[in-house]
Amino acid sequence: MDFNDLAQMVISGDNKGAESWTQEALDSGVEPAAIIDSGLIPGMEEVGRRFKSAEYHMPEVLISARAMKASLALVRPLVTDSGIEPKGRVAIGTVRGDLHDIGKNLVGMMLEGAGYEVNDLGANVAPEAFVDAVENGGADLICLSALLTTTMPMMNSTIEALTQAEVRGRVGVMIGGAPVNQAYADQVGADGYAPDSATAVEVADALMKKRAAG
Amino acid sequence: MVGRSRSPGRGTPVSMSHRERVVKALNHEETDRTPMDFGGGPATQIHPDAYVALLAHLGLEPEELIEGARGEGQVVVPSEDVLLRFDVDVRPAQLRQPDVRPRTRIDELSYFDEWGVRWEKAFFTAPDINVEGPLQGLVDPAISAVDSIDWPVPDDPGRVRGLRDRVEELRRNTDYAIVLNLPNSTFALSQRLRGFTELLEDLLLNEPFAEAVQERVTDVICGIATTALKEVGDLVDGVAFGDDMGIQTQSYLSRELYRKMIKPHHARFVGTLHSLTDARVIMHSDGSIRELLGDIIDCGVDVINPVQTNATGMEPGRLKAEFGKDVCFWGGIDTQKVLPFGSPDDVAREVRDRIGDLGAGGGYVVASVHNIQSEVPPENVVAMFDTVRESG
Repeated sequence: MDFNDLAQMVISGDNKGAESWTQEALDSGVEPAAIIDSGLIPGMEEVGRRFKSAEYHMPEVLISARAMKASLALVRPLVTDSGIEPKGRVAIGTVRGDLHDIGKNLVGMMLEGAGYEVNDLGANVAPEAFVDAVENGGADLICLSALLTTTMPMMNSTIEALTQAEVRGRVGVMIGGAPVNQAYADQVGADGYAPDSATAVEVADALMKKRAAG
Repeated sequence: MVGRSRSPGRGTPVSMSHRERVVKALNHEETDRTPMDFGGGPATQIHPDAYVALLAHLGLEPEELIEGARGEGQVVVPSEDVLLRFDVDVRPAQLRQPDVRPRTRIDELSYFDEWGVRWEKAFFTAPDINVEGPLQGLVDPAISAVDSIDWPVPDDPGRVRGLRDRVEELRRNTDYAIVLNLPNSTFALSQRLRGFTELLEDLLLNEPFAEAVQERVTDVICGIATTALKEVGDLVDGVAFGDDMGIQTQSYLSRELYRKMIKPHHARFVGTLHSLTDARVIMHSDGSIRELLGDIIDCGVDVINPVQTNATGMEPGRLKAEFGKDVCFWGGIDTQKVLPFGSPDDVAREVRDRIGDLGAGGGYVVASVHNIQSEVPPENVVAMFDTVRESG
């Protein structure tokens, strides 16, 4: 089977096609991990590229992510059963006091499409929930989103909570959202900042590499 | 009559009434000074925390706060004392809740609106966010599903009760420009009803259903606009509505999809407004909308608000050069970085720069890009409005 076909189904948002291709591939003995690495990830990489260059807009990205998820739903349980580790574990959420979740959802989809296991904590997430995701959920990366200048300081509070709980050293922290920038990331001691969802994948990859290098 | 515009103790000499200044600017003509708005048009109000600090800074007595357009606790309408202090040129006219299905509070932090959409906020002074709509959760719905929910009653008399009296009084006793603020338009309302992700997916995957929802929404908002403009269409200078079409880096939809699925509704709605009033039509859309702006202008929009200058492709000089002949700009003073985190000098520079690029030859009303947020220092609010008067 040609992995490129699956990648194209993701790119064009062919939900049913991606699902039946995946089922057929699994039935014929294709390695589950290969479906992710050779079909879904290249497909979502191309979607991210097109979104970044404004060739794709949100509707196209959303239907691509839906196709990716339809395939992943079949593959994920098999990969988990076989004990293969994901590229990294991410806990993502919009900080406490902020209910905006569109940007956060997009970043989560892109990270999932890039091979990360994504634990979406939702919106209005308390600092303690992020701490718990590290302590008990084994998160390698924390992604914090805020749309409001009013809720940006909660990023700082969340990072402080991680420090207080003595888990800050175990986890990389990325931040994003309209009013946030690199200077703010430096100010609150975040490890990375991404201005958009495609860049978020690059930043996550760089942080994981840095962590692996120890 | 308040008479000619006053400039208490500062600023350049003025020769126009407030209304004349706004009307001329929106007619692409030069004015004695650039007009400014605080609380008149869409999303130009102020967070209560910032407002209380502003009152103290100005040496004004604490006031009973007047709830703003977004709902309790989030924005307030600046009082006449404050507007007089800054010599603001615009005053708002607002619709009220309908008699049938007015806003229904669930608890202190959530409510249903007349469309059956549930809104929530995280704490009392945080913004309300729409969290669930009555068409959300339907999987591959048929067109007939639009008939399964209760739709607002467009000519509900509650919306316009007392409206004409309020506007007539403003018109009789003041010389301010008056902007009638209408509800949101087709795209935003359809998203709330169907869910954000669901509607965007429907636009590509279930076009007939998306179209059926949007058609019905446009019917309702045209009806609401008709009800309102029959009352005050002859008295107002601007009529404003909102429909966010952009995110920080690009428009929500490609130009092709906008033209196919949304533009016909915007054209119908704006056409309805123009058929009922001579007032200028002001459309509010956050985000990067440069890709769609030519088509939005095509629909008959006269004024675009808020000109989110730090979004991709929204550089003010470029927008003015490309679209300035065909559309006016209302807003432009950055609320993501300059107003909250800049110094008063930074704010003054921002205002002078915008008057220089967006204001050249008329066609510009100075206002913040969005409601003034809670942490904006009062010194910056003062710098914004005083610079307008000092700059001429």
